[in-house]
Amino acid sequence: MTIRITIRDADTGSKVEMDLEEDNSIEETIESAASYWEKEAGAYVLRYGKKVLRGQTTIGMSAIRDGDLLELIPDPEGGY
Amino acid sequence: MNPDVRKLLDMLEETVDGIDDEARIKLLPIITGFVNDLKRDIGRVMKLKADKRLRDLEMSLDLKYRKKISNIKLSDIPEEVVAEIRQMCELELASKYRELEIQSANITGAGEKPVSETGPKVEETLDDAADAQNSSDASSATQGQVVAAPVEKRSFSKVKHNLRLCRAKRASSESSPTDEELPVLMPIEPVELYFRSQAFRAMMEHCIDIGKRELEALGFLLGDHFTHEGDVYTVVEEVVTSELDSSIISVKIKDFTPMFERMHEIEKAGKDFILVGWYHSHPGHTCFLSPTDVDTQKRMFRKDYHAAVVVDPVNSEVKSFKLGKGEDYREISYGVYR
Repeated sequence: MTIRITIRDADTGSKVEMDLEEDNSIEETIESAASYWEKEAGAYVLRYGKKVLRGQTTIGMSAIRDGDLLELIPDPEGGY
Repeated sequence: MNPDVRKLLDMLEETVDGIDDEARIKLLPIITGFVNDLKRDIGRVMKLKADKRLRDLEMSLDLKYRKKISNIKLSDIPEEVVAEIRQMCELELASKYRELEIQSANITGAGEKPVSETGPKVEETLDDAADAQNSSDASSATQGQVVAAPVEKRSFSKVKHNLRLCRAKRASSESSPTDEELPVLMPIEPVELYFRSQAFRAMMEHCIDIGKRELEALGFLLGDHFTHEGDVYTVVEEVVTSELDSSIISVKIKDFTPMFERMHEIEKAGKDFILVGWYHSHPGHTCFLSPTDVDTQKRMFRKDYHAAVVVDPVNSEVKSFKLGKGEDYREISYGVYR
């Protein structure tokens, strides 16, 4: 079953709609969104309300529904 | 020293009598931010005088804080004091605006370009003239004439040298000879990053708290950005952080959940912020962007409004940066507002 979600880029506020299958993984979703905005996929996670989404969890397992909004958030590293 | 600045320093001295180290660390960046604001505002109307006055102010503050470090105690940041100082300076600033508007009008009215080359004397003349203006009880129009006469006869080459950055900024939009003769009206440097005071305080408290354990702190800056006359301004309304995987030389987010819970709350409150940058701390290592930090900035915060703030809670230092054009990064001025 296909669902349509919106992903918001937290850095800019811009949004993109994506059609996903239940068996698509979060990692694939991040890769697609990151690629759309020309970002490096490995350095991002998805925010779904209060929840963190990342890795091989599938869309079906993460309780995401048609019309939901996810946010692409960077995972920064600082160092001296 | 200007009596108002003297009064301001006396007031600060009374306030810092008995500040503890922690409060001092919190207070210093706020004053630094305030002084940055003041520099910007005053710089627009009277750079020569302002620079000297602010140097005096900063030097005096520095001396006083160092002097009092062993016996200070204060339970909280004295925001009322900062407000009073700001009010005092705004009053002075308004007065200077009026004086300099009259001075500028008189210079413009003279209609002649300066001719002779006298080097550093120009600065002295301007300073002396402004001092005379400050101390005179005569009417404003008379004050303006007193200042305009010596200025008109001298070259501005030295002043131009000192203000070359400011002039470059104006050169593209204004070119009349009259404008060339008004260096005191030129800005010093723009403040590119503005913090809401609560956000700044939260960031500082986080860095100080984590710094006590000799660990680096990290968080996001949430807010918005604006463009005015081609300049980009970043405004930080909130800061958010989370559980960190941190050492004294590195930091990453370990678990995003606490951060996302806070972001969800902010969202539910109807605030539509974006990530305008990030902050992290270098406890005891001073403030700069390390190669790791630059890499993070380039990979994740590439927009012209994206800022990186580095806090050294041990040395009471805060600096803000953006990616530069050509070089890796550049330091930018920040201010704190209420």
